[in-house]
Amino acid sequence: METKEAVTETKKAIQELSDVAEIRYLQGDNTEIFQKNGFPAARIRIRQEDGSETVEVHDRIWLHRSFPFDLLEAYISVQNKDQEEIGLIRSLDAFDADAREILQKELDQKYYTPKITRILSLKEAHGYSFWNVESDAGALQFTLQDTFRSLLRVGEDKVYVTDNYGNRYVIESLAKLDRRSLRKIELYL
Amino acid sequence: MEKCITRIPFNLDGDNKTVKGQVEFYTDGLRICAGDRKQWIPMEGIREFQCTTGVGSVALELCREDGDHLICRGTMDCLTVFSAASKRMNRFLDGAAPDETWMHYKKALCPKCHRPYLPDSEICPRCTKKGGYLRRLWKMARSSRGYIYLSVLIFIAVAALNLVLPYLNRVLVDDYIKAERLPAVSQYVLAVLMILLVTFAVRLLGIFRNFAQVRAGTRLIVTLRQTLFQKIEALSLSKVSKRTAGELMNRVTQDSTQIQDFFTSDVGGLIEQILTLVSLGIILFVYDWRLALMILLPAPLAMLSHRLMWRFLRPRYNKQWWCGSRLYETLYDIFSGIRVVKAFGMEKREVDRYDKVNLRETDVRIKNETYFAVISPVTNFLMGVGEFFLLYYVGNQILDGTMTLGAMQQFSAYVAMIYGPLRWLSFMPRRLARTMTSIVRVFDVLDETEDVADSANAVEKSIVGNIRLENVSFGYEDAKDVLRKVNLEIKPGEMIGIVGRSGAGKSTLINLVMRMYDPDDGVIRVDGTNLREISQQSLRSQIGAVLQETFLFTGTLLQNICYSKPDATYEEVITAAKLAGVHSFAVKLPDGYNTLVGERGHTLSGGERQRVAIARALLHNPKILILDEATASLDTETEKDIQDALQKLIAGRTTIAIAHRLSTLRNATRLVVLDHGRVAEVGTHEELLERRGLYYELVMAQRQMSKMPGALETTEQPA
Repeated sequence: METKEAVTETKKAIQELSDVAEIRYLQGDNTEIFQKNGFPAARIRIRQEDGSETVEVHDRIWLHRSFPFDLLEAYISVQNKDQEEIGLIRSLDAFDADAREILQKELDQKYYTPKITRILSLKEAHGYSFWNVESDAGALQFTLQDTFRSLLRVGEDKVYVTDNYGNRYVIESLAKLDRRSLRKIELYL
Repeated sequence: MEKCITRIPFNLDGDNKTVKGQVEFYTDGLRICAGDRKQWIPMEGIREFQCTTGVGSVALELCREDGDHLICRGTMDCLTVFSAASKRMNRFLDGAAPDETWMHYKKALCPKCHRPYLPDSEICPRCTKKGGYLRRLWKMARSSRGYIYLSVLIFIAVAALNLVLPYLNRVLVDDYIKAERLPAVSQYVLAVLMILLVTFAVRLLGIFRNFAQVRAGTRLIVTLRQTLFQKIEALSLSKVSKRTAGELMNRVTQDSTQIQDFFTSDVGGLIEQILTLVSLGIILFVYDWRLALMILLPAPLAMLSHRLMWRFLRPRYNKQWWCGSRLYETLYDIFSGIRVVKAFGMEKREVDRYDKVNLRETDVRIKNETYFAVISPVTNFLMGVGEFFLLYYVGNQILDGTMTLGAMQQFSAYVAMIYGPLRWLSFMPRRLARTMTSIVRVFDVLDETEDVADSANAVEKSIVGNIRLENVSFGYEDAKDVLRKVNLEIKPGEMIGIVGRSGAGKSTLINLVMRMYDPDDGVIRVDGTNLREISQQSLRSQIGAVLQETFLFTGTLLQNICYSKPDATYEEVITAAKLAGVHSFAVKLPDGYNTLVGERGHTLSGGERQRVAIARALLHNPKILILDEATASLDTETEKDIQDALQKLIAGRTTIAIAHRLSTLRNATRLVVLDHGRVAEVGTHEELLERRGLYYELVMAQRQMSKMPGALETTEQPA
């Protein structure tokens, strides 16, 4: 009996961790997302301890993916100009279609990542590798400085490529890549 | 429309579509053109330009009363240009006059071949003219030229002797062993002796060649390293710090070694191999052109197959090397973190992780070994295919009686000799390319302009201590401006405290006063003279600095104190040491002032190091004193002691001090509060408190922290 009580006690304490962390989750029912001068902005309602409500308005918000490789539409940190977190979005699904569109557009812009569909050529010289690819943004040419370290494999199937400027590209699925392309990149995976 | 100030290209639109656009900045506004989009934004009302860096893209924006507005977007390729443009335009908004240089931006890609420049430079490893560099290197090799000539001569001699040897063998076989009538024994012995002599000569020359090579190489490398090191020391801090210490070390040590190797062994080797090849060809053709063709025709094929083999294998070996280093990294990682592994009971998982990496490496290795085992015999066979032709042809001739056995032996030897150089030469382009890169990298440093150079009419000047900053703006390498329009006058003997949040530009201000950098805009005057017109030697000899991170060179305590004044007398050293509080602990050490300190010597505590730094500055007897967080890394008690020592140093000197801990600056005549690169407030402690501005906030924040129980330690030691 005593131990059971102790267990529930511990459970309670652990559950309260998220309260202690004071993470403010933003979702459709407490936050209104709108556009100002083409940038996303937010109006957040905060319930005070005494039951009253205050409204916090941010004329411009900055979005930052917490897990940019694993989760593209979840756990998005909403920040102000000084990179202080205003709140966290658990999932874009927590907003209506209009708000989602504004947020999605901002994310797409910030994390501009063309999807590579075909590797036309891949040559190596002087420690650089020169890529010539087809992507959803058209034909692209870019250069990697340290090929092995510039490729990041996420799971078994997805590969992120970072070129010497810091541009990102993604191969969504190795399995769906044609054989010639696969053979070219295989040596570096 | 007025004058065009600057112009930048961009390549993305709001919907992530690739476009070819351009923004032109005029004095009265900016014009944006991209396909159908044409837009004019008036300059009026614009407060600031900013460059916002995303993860895969970058944006140039402007700030107005009504908020931020997008000007244009681009991929990360545009980053340097966007940030430079925003910096220039902000300077324009601050009233700076634009000039011709504003139209130009540093390029990141070689305009000719669109390949990236070498890191931190504007040199394309493919397109730079290499002839000029080689000529300059040759000039630099003046002192070792004699030895280079000598080693080339010996290379030629060795090549010639190697050709003679098979001929002597032939004579031995044909004229003596297979001779129809028995030759005189003395003649036979003579022939054998000749062979012995030639072999011996080849070995002996080899020794001389090594000797000449080593001499030529060491002389060249000494000259090269000296020149490089002198140049690096002469460069300004901004030029030096744009490269990492590791990279500079690489250039001084590895690149120069690469060049040395090339000049001492590869140049000679190249001449030897080519000579061998050419003379062998001539000998063979003169003797029998059909025979020569038969031997030489498969040669290009063999070379080609050799090259193809390596083109196939190299990336695979690269991968094997990469997997190998991953294996090593994993192991290192797990061993260093073994406590964490055990604490969380993750042994099994780590074993699995290691197994996975290990298996992968083994997989790749087995594959590569298989490839090599299959491919290399084939190419080797192709390399030697000439010999089979030769055997067939020569065998026929011997049977016909048109060729002797000795001749056959001679030619077999020649054939074996011809493929060595071919193999060697097939590796040459790679080696040549690597050396050229090293040469280019070395000259990149040597050709760097000294930006903070003494002007022609720089004067020696005895400083009184008046410092004036007039409209000073400055930013490091294309980043945002750190200081913007700073105006400040410091009177002789005044102690100025500089406060502000981190990143406000405090250290930068000090760097400018020390002339580690020149301001981009505005003037700094010392006693009315522009800092640029005072010789650096004379300026620095009158400025003393105590920094947060005290660097002690490996050497004795005495040497470290004397660093600022190598000709100081023992008494001067003791006086300075006593004032700084070094003397008291120095005399307790068994070796006194001769105690070895620094990396490998006696470890001094933080407070002791700081005292040494103060003694260094005291000995120097500077007119202007700079204290950059001089006591930040010390505990409260030590700080108090050091403060007392500093007080003796400060008396009567113009002092600029930076401190996070505001209590450190209680003796300052005036305080200057910096905020985002601008002077926000100036005044005494009391004046600023009354004003209830930024300084007041900072003081209150620190008081709050120290009131918190148990938080004392953290306040006293800011990160």
